[in-house]
Amino acid sequence: MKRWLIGCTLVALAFPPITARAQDGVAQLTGTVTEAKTGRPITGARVVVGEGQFGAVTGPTGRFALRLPPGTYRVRASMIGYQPLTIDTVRVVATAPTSLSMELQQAVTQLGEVVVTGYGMQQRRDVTGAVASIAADEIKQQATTNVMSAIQGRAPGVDIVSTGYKPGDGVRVRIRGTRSIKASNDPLYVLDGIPMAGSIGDLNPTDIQSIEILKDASATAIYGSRGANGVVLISTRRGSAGRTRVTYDTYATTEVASKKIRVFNGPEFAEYKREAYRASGDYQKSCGTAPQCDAGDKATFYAEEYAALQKGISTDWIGMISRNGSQRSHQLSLTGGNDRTQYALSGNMVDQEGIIKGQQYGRKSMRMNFENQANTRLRFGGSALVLRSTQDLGRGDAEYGEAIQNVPLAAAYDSTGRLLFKPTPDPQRVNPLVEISHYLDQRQRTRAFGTLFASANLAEGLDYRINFGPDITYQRRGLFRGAQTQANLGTGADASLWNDRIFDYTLDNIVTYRREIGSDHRVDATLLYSVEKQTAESDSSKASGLPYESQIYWNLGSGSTIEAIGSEIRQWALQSYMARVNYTFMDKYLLTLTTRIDGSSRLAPGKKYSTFPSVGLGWRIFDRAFGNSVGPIDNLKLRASYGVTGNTAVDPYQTQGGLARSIYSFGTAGAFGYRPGSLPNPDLKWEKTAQYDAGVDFNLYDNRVTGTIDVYQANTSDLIMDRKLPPNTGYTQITQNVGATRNRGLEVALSHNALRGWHGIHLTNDFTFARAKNEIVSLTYGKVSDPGNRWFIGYPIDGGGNDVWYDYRFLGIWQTPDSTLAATYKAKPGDIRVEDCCSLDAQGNVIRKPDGLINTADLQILGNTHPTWTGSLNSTVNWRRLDLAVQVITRQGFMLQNTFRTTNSTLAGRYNGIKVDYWTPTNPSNTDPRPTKLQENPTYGGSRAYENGSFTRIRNITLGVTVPEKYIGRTGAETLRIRATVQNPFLFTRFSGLDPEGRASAGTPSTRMYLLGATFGF
Amino acid sequence: MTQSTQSTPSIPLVRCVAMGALALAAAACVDLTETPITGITSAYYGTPEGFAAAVNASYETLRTFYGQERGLTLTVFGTDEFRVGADGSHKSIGFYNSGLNGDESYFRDAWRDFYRGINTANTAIADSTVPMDATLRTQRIAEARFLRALYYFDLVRMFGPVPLLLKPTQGALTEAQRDSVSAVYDAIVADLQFAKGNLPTTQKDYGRATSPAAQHLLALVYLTRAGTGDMALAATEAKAVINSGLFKLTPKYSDLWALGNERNSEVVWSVQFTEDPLTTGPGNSSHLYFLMAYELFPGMVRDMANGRAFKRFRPTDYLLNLWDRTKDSRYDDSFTNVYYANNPASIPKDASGKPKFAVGDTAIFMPGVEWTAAQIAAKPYTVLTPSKYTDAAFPSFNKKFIEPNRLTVNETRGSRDWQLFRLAETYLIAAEALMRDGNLTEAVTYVNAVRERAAKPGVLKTDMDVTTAALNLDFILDERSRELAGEGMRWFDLVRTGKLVSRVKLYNNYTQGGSNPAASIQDYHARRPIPNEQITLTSNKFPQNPGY
Repeated sequence: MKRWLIGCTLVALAFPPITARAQDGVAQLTGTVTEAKTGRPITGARVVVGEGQFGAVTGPTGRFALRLPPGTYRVRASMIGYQPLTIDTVRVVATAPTSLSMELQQAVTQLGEVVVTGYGMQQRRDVTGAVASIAADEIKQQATTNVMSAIQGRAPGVDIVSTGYKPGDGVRVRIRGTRSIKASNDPLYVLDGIPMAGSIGDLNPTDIQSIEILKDASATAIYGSRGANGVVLISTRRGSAGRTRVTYDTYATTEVASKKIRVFNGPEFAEYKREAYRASGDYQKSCGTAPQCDAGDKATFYAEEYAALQKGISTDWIGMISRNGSQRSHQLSLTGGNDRTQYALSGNMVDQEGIIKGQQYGRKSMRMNFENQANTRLRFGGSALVLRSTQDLGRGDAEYGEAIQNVPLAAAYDSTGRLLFKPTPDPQRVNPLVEISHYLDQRQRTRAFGTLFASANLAEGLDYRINFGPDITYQRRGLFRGAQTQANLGTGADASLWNDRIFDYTLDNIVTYRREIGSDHRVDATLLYSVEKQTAESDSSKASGLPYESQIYWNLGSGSTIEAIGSEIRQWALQSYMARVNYTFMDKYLLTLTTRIDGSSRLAPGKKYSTFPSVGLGWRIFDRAFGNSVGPIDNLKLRASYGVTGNTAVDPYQTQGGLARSIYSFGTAGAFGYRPGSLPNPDLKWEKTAQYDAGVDFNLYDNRVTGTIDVYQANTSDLIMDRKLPPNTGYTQITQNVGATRNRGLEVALSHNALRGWHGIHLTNDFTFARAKNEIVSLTYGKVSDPGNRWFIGYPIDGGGNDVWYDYRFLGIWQTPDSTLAATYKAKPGDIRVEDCCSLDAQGNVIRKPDGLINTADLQILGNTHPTWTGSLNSTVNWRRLDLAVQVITRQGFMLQNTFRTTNSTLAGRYNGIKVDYWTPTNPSNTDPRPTKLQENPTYGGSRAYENGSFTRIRNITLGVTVPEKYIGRTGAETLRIRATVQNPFLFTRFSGLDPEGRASAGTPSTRMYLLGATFGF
Repeated sequence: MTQSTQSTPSIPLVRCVAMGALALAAAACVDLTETPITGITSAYYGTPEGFAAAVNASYETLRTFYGQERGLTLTVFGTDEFRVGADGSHKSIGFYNSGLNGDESYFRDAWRDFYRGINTANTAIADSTVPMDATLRTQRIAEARFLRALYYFDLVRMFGPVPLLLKPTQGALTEAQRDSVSAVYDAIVADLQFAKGNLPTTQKDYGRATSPAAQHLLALVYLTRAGTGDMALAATEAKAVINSGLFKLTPKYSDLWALGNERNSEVVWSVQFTEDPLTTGPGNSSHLYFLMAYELFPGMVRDMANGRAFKRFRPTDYLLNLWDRTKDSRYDDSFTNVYYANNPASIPKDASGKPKFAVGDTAIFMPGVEWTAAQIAAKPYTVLTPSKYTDAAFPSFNKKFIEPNRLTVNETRGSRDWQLFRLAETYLIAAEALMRDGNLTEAVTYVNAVRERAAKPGVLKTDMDVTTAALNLDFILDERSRELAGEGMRWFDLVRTGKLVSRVKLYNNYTQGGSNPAASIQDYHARRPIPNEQITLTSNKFPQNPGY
């Protein structure tokens, strides 16, 4: 490998570089590039003079300056997201500087000029697949540490929700719904051409130049087995010729919980606990028939609670563990270079304090891009991303839960002002404030992700490129639980340490060939051979009985007991061959053909390889650039594609049937063994998705309205899932190809330039709308539903019990007049009532007829988590130096299981909980059962959890001002933009939980964020 | 790719492209074979080490039930011995109310884990051609068959007809049917006969199955199956264990529960736990559940000696009054009814500010009978008479389980072996079998042997004796309670003897929060509900037990 590479390099170097034409004298060409619509300067636009001998990049004020020999030149200005502008004859003389003013028309997002596609770039107008593009400006608008969170609501069919609200928590991204569940449904992230093995969350949003989301098979098929869930291509900022540009961007935020959970306060808790003791008959032992008495209180409450009740103490534990969250970010970037070498450097620091004390996230990252045109034939370059992030979670979501469950009738501090470990004698509850300092859970990640490439022009139109991308991640998690935590309840500290080292590399060999044959034929062919390999090593240890707590987890050997120790290695490899041809006829008819062959180590022998073909067609019916626009239609392009992608994302070694270690002892000697752990599946084969997509791209009314509409159908077969087995097999599940699903959808993106300079006001509204229906078509063992796995024909596929809700239907609370009927269900007034809808007939078939029993016949499909439609609106207004952007997102028609509510309203009279309207003999509530100390959880309590999750949220309002130069002179900056943002100001929903957008079980509230930021250009 | 080049390339270029193509071909050697390094696959079975590992793994299931809250809850709640205490879930199992259904996790988990153990044992048993010493191989297979029999015995006693699988599961098996109770018992008996014939009387590794263990279990199986001739078979097996000379009753009842004396002469077979966290798994956690909330009383704080009180199981009046406390040592050797002050900070003070008692003095006393108010007031410490018992304050039935040698006071993992089969039970099995076969004269000797050992110091052993006239099924059940209460068998005993409903109605009759076990229990409760997940995951119809 090395030798031929050196050979090629030598060959390439042997070609002499183009020498500049000798010219006499020097002239100056200056100018500005602005946005035609708003008049705003365009930074980073590329200005090319002549045949490319001279070039410059505009600065923050949109200006450029060039020194060049006098003469007549063609000048072309271009910028991603704008239509390029060429001025053919610009005369430059030595005597006086020539000044140019170039106004670029904005290309709407969906029709940007150049898009990054897999293993290459393409003119947007030539694309035959469904590709959504998002530009840097739109990403920067959001204040978030996570890239994908920043593009929420920007592309139809790309559903992005938070997985939690603790600092550093990630997002869940689903492109065109879910297909396989066993296999990860995460899309493939490709950073500057190299698939990312590690987390997308490591990337700094402000480093990003553009994001392309490949949705249909024509676009994703070149990623073959890895493209089944869509592909997200991320391009980072690159340097460009011109003087060095320095940008400093900073922001600071303050964050508050967007929802305050109302728990029982002191007197309310007292009454609730009394009721729980009345329900068990204990309260009456002291009070007889009196509803309340001092003796009853004394017998019911701990002395501490009784005293607090007398004194009127009502501790707000949630308030005590909460604070205002905040974020600070600093980013310094440098870009520059000349016509042969370009570079971009950036450094970023961000730190975030969560709204729960003790929870924080910080990341420091550096990024470098470098490219050099060694000579006319050889170009090489590289990039590096190095970062370290640290997430402190404390007790995580459970900390908030501890605050909810601690009773308000207790004090946090003793009379001397010291924190009390246990506010009441309850053996299970501890002071959540003590936990903040005694429970540490820190995840630290160090990552180095680099790419190196060399490309050689072998002959006219023929290029060879090699990419090598190593991705090294080192993760460490340390968990320390001091003696004074709920976990250890005062008896000795324990700690664990986990280390993971992941090494991943991708090696691509790419040959491309471009050629125009006559004026009617254009061919663009790509051949690829690619290898990806990953090795993940990990080790862990846990010790208890730590002699001193200041060690945290850095002296596990000193513990009195080693609790566990482990190590592991996992490896997988993927080998791929791909060929693609793009053919354009008469610049009007477009064809893309792709085939990829993938081999995966994770599948069974004999089933490792599979072929993924695709075809895409495009027809530019009208194109203003060719003078054939019709009426209001400037451009109209029809697209159609078909292709097959696959999914191999099962865990390695799934086909072999692993054994599980067992622990026993004979006498005092350990007796370790191995039991069957997972069932081998030598038949496991590729999961495949065949996807049809039809789309139309259009520009109407002089580009005033632009848009894209796509409809698609994806048929997934041989779906790889963990299928639960009847437990009498001795196994819980098997990884299996279980059936076929169909996913149909409609996606619309529309952009409307409502105002274009009316009184100087520019207004653009971007709408997205996506509708998707995901359903099981068949299961391999027949067209019958599998209720145990929650797989129902015609419903979305459920993976792990989190998609389809199949449970008893909550009818309310048994009321006193119904006590006779309640008794037949062994229930009594105040208990939860679920629907006895059905029974079994003599043959064991379910029939809709109550039978007085609540059993499996009464389980019903209640709903699912997949929204019927999602939408967004992004509005931007510009007026002179002011700009205002508003983003609204909506998800409609889905059901959530609000486990936060059910786990925090168990109504056992022991712990505090969410303030709910519980049933009592005098308060016939129909929402929550009677508190009783007799059970830790109400029977059928989980049936209260199902709620409509539909919501509409104003996600972001940003006001920006470009400060006039006269006010910024002393700062040394050339430009300054200041922005103020409020994130998540309004939420419209009937959901009663913390937030309908994220995981409903996440126990930490979402935040409302106020941001102030500034961007300086030097 | 080179053929598509139109222009004439120079020689070095051709070579370069050729080299590039070669490199592509050369790199195409990425090996896609999977070789697990950390994990181990089923190919391990079939080797002597793998076989040994499968046999060892068959034992692990014991620790999911015996000495655990799950096994205790399913055998202690809803019987005549214990009622529902203050804390914990799964109270429906004690109340026989609406929560006792196929969703209850203890039924689900017991079903899951026993079948997992059965599949593991099946795997070992199927490995019958593994190249190794044939005698040892047969002995190990006999161990696995003993364990499989035990797991099926627990399943059939709880659920009635259950799927009978005697071969390791291959592939995605989604169909299942409920095999008849008699078929399951036939398989159990066949396994135990094999185990009895092929296991040694003692094992070098303490805790492995032995032939007396198989015989004890076989006796209990016959006693439970109660078919024609089964009583005689049960008596024969039980007497064989008793007369083997390998075991004898400990001199005192309390010797059985002396910490560190779990390997006493009476143990026929025990489930193993150790003090080493790496080998004890979940540990024996029975020390947690029978305790009252002593720590909430003046002068008391939770400590190692007294244990961590989960207060799950509160003794019924029936149990508390079962012993003749003047003669029978077993009440005192089972219950804690006095607690000594261990917390100076919470000792109450009298009017002059002087502590009413000192550390080490009595802090809580439960005399077991009612006292007058004046008598109570005269004592500086808390006096709990029976009328003052609550679901968190009651005599702690903990002497069999208490473990003051755990790592920390909150440590749940105990190290005591769980004495699953002990000779006193073998005696009572023999007695019951003989009695039910009409041989009262012989039966009474086995009852009296157990009773005599329980005589208090100074009480004549013969004073403990009963006559054949006293002998009936209720007496046997009472005696089993006196000897074996809390040892994880009561619910099975009551179902086996057909006394579950009548005894719960008689002795577990209390109303709390609208629930009354005596009022709720019905005949169908003698079988547990089939876990709902078994029903919904089986692709054919899998019937629920009647009543659920």
